[in-house]
Amino acid sequence: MTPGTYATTEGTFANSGSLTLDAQGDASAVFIFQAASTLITSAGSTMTLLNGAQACNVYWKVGSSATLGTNSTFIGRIYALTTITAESGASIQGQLLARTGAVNLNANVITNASCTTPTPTPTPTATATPTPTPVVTVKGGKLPKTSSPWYNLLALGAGLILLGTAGFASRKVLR
Amino acid sequence: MRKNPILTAVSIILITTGIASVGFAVTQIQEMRVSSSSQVLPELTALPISSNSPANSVAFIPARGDYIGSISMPALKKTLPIFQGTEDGQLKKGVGHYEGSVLPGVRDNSVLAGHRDSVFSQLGKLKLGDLLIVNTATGNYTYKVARFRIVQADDRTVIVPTKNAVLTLSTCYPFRYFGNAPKRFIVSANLIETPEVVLALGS
Repeated sequence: MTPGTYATTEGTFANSGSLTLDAQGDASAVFIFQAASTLITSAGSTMTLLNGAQACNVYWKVGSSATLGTNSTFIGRIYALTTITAESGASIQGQLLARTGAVNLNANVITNASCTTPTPTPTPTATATPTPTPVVTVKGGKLPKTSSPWYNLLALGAGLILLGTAGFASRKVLR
Repeated sequence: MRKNPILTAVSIILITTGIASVGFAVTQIQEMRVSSSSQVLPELTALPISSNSPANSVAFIPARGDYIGSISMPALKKTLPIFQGTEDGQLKKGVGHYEGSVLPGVRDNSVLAGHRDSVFSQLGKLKLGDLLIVNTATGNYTYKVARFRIVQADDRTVIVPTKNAVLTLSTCYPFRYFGNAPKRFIVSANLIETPEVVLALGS
């Protein structure tokens, strides 16, 4: 399959054999699968990444539950409304996220779906990108600045009033 | 006989500027208090889809400025919105989630910050054992206050990884202080209840 969004409004996504995700040379290619009801992979089914496809760019939105068959291989991040069940020996390269139900595991191997960073191409202007929330909290982070500037302005204003009043009161009489 | 005209003029300018500064500052402080206490919280329906991320892709990681949930403090009768990031823009609207920390509910240290003169003005009234309930798109998480600390503003021992799910609240201290407060008031709370399963297995 090539990059894109694949949706099934009524049915189920099922993989009973071998599914290949072909990024066609684009490492940032995204595959999105939207199943209105369930996602089911058969026992022993496999998934393969081809031509630069990355597990971090494969998303499965599941309307109810997801079941990964015995000794199957699965790639991508599952966002399921209810339960996710990975049967014995299923191997997952990605994430399993269930909203209202449980994530049932049984002798599974789950590996990270982090992207490999492509070699950056130099650009003449620097662009600011937001820092993503990390998987772990940084060590020794700097505490956020939580004072607002308006209290400083308030203090400055009060100081100026005092100074002006003092100056006004101490004017010397000219003859 | 007449008084020094230059000193008179300078004094009047100083007093006028001072009154204008105080008036503007008071207006801004008042506006910040109202906007952070009276806003209606947006509804959370699903895992956040970031409006800032390219091609509207599904993003479990919120972008800076995104609304990510709310925090309730029953002891203070307060419910406050949480936004991603701790820059001025986010702290003006509510509580900010420190981007270098995990999201609430994850087994690590999730850090939230807020202004001492608006959202976190009553943080000092919390007591040990008080509950903090965080609601995000992934569920409700109840934390129990376990520790208070007052540290220097440049302290680097607060934002550190933790073994268990901890919620850390940070605001400036002393609460009543003109200018940049030199210290931080820190509240640490431990997760005691999580009804839903969230696995954070990778980025």
